[in-house]
Amino acid sequence: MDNILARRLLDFTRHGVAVAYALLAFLVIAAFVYDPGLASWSWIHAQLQITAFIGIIAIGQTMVILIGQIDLSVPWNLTFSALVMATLSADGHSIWLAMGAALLCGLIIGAINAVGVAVFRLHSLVWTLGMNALLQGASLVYTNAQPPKSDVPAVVREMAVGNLFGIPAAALIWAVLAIFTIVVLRRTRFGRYLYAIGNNETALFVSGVDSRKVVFGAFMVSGFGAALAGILLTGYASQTYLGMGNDYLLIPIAAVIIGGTNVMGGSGGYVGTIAGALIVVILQSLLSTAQIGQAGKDVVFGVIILALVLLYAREARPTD
Amino acid sequence: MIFRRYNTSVLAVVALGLLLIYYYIRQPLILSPFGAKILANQGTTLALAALAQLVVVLTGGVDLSVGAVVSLSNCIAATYMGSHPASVIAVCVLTLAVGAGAGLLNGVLVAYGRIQPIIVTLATLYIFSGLALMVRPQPGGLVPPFYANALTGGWGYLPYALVALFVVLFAVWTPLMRSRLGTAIRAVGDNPGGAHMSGINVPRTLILAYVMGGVFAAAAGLYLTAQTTSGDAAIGTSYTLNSVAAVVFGGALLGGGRGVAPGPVIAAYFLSIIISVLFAAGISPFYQSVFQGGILMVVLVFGNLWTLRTRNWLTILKN
Repeated sequence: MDNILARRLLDFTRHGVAVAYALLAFLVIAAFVYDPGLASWSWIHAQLQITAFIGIIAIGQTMVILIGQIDLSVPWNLTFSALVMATLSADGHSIWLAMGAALLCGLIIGAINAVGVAVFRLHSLVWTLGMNALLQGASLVYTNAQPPKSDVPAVVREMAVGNLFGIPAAALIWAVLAIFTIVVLRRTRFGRYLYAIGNNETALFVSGVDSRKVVFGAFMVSGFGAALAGILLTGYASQTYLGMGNDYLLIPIAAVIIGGTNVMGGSGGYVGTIAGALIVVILQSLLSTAQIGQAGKDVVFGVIILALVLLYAREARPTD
Repeated sequence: MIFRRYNTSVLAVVALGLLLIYYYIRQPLILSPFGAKILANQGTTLALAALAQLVVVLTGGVDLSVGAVVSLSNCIAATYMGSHPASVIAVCVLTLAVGAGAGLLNGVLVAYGRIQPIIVTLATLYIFSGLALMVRPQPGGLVPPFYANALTGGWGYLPYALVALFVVLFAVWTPLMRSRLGTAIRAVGDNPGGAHMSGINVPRTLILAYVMGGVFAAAAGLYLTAQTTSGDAAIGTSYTLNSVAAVVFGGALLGGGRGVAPGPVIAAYFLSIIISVLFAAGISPFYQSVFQGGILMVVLVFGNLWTLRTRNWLTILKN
């Protein structure tokens, strides 16, 4: 009897998505017990607001990780795209043109990432790390290290911090994109091909699919998501600044991994990532409430991520 | 035979040679005892960080926490060093031990935790940089002049930086890589299953490789301390990317098994000196990351140009 229970428990912990949601529920309850003052709509509202940015970045990161790659160019892609928008709008161009240019920028960066990975067969880790440095330099050169100081247009602010029916607009944008992502991953060919590449790219290729196009798709979604997050964060902070993307490297990746997606690709999905994103945001929020300084927060956060990954995202024991 | 072993380093050697010739034309003063000292000092930190990265890359992993360990050891050294020679030596040993401990944590998590190296080191990057910030919330610290001189000074045309680097290369790196451990590291990187079947203790090899990586990263931090004579929790950030760039540029294979020290070390000097060359050529320092990222990407593409010539994509997928 005990044995069966233990085995069931073990099976459960191997099912990443279930664990992620259980953990999320536990975390929320723990938060409310720890500080009953938190159990309010305003707290939930604030969490949703922040999670939206991370969730949007994590869409592309989930797809990229599903094909067994990683996108480390998010921080400066986000910053560079936001700077493009801010500069164009400060120069008097329409905000829609400026936003369009920023999103296009993200798509192009994603495409360049994909060229390295799909065409030149490079390690996405180093290729996108190089891209990140390149964009960091490009941001400095483009703005002469002085980002435009002008006011952020009202549209951008509304998208980031506005409300609709009492729900943050950014969270609504995220919700729409999240549903779309889940449908794409589960119901479309592109979605199935993403999983197929993660499991066995050769098999997909010999069944007549040009896997390179799928890789382009994944990286361009990631680039687009980073640019969109850049736009929203500009509205959220009411300004663009160098380094605004620095916090958005590990956290979305952690959200994906905690959400039960295999780092080597091939299994997982966005449903888990949603829980993962909420978990990391609530954790950070609790650490802030506990009034630990930035240094302590970094250490504790790193330790918790490792503990969660150790708990259920380990690789199979080599069986040779 | 001996040359074939090192032919992956040729690109870095040629690049550094051309760079130094151009630099000499722009600024003939570099061919003086002072110039030699400046040049040697500039690249030594990155050269040590590149060795830290190389030993992990040889196992088939990657260490994104190198920069954070450099920061941490820089903060520890600059904060606790004091001015007495005995305390300086003690703190240096302590710093290297902290580096070893950082590597041990990475190694245990990779080997026994069975977590991908990139995830482990991305998380420990946060931990180590948080610790660095705890040791030294504000930049500063005290470094005795004799310590700085011993590592950054020079005797005629011979900079002490190169002496230190050669000691590390020939007294530490070479014996380790020629030992059974070195062979085991390459074997694990090349084919972990095969290494296991040949009786190599794979987890132990991985752990020792990460520990070595931590010690080399701490050594890089110690050298950086002599160079800047202060501690700064954010100073090491750029060493993660640049150490990976140096390793790739120096001809080591990401994915493991192949790579020799001279390439990455020379590439590290190239990547460090190019910044002063840009300055001498009148290019804005804002271009620094553009060049560092751009060089890495160009080198990567050139290394894989053959993929464009391949007729059958299947042969590439099977690689």
